[in-house]
Amino acid sequence: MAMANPNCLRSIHREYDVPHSEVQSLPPYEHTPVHCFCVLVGNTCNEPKVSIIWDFALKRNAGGCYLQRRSSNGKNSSFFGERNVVARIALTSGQLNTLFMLGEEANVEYEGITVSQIYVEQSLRSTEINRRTPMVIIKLVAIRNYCGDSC
Amino acid sequence: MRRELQRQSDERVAPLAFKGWKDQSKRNFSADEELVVSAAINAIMSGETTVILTRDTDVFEQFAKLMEILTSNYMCYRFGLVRHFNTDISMHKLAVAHGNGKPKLFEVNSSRI
Repeated sequence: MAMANPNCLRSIHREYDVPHSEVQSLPPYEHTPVHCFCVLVGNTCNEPKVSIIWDFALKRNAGGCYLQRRSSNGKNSSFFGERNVVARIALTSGQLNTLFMLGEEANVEYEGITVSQIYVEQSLRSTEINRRTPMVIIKLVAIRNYCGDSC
Repeated sequence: MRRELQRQSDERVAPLAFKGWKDQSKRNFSADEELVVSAAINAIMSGETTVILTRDTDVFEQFAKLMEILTSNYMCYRFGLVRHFNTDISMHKLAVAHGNGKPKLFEVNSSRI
């Protein structure tokens, strides 16, 4: 398991190592999936290529998460006072694991603004999954068909 | 600055960060970010399928990054709920019952959530 950078939290109160498959089963069990796509059109019109990213993990229920973040000054959970919940995902011998940490955040000055170091780390570095997942590249002949030979 | 950003961030983020640093005086400095955030907020709040069609690779990368962050935040939110309503759970490796589709741990007090 690739350990999370301990510097992103001032103090770690608890750690939980959970197989990623079990993380998918966390409540709420009922959810409404929302499709959100980004379609990147590239190459030339004679041989157009399309890359697509979509995320089924977006859910209507996530709205509650962001309302809570607003009320708790940007924390992922409002139940733990000054502590925040942070997750790190790593691939270990082909198996995905998630490490949840409950601890107090460390603030840093970044470009003149005081922000939580967790969010700086999160913004500047990708998780193992994102780094390793190749982009889905699809040749989309349909675009040429749609545009016709004049395209 | 480019070297510093490459040292601090990974290979997908470094070009975006450098571009952001270089273009910070432009009037449309945050246009890409606004686009992807608006799309995600629209999807979550309206429940409607949302599509961004672009030829800008920066928008594509920003979208991928945003999805990663949203997924991670939502995961933490869900875990926070479980941890809050199950204070008596063990603190380290979680004992999980396989076979019935739901972790045993979360069946204990799941009705309270």
